[in-house]
Amino acid sequence: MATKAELYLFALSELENSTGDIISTAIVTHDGLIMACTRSDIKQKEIFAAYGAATFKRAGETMEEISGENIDMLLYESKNHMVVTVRAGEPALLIALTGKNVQMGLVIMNVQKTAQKIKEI
Amino acid sequence: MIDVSFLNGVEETIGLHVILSNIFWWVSLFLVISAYRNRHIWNIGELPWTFLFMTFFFFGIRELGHLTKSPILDSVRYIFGIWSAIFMTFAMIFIFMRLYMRKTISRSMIILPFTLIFLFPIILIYNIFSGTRIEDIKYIMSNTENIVWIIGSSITIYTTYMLGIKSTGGFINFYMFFHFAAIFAILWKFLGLIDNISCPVPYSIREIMETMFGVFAILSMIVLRRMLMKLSKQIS
Repeated sequence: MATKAELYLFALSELENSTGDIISTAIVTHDGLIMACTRSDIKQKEIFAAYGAATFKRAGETMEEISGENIDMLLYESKNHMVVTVRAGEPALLIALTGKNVQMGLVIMNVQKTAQKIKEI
Repeated sequence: MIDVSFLNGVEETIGLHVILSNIFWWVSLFLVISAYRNRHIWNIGELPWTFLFMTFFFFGIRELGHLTKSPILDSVRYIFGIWSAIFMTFAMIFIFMRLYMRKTISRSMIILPFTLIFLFPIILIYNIFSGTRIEDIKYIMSNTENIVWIIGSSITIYTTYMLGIKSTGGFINFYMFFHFAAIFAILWKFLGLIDNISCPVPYSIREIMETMFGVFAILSMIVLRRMLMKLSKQIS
């Protein structure tokens, strides 16, 4: 029987295959610990998870201050990259790093679908 | 006859703080080993994990040294304290370099702490063979330990602060408790240093500082272990 970590990794692989130009994806805890990650470089994995979770936390605090509501999704982009972070159940966050040649709407839709799958796992 | 200085907590005693300290540090060592079993979840590399283990292991040995009154064993005890300070400092420097500065730990950075730990036993052996009185050796090693802890804790205060502000969730608590431990270590050793130099400080005050140092050290390890155990259960 597959472990949860393996099921998470399978969900991430599906997301990457269904959406072009996704560089890497990860499921991380709110502490910034990795539950599953498609990135091969171990050092980059830890940084990806730690900074991804910390950014979401700060954005969540800002959202709560200015709107009084919880954050559900965070999207930020640079010249060549874009990062989408969504909640994937109570303990987890789903982070996707993409290139610029990607349809934003498609990425968001697929990321949210995957987050739903992760919740069900 | 009643020893007044003992009752007033002016001189070193083998009392509650020694028992508490030993419990805190040896339990912390167990917590590090337990957390290490889930190292794949917090993959900061083998070296910081090893250094964390060494920090608690050597400080545990140092605390066991409280149970003896032999000046030569006291001097050796200070060596273990120095080693503990060096490993604690470098463990946090390595985590800081890896997570905050995004740098790879160079060979020279790995060699540096090991060079330092060999330096102090050499000083002790040199003093023994040069005919220095054992009380003087104890005095030198005690002061050296105080200075090493003050320098090491100052660096740890900086690294844990910087790591804490970049972290989230339980890691904020982990770094914060380590930060507090380093603050109490500085206070404890600074009082020890000024006591050695000229200004007598009641030992009971230093005992409290040392105990608080142990309290925050064990708290940081409890937080780390709990985070890793929780996630380990979630993904298995």
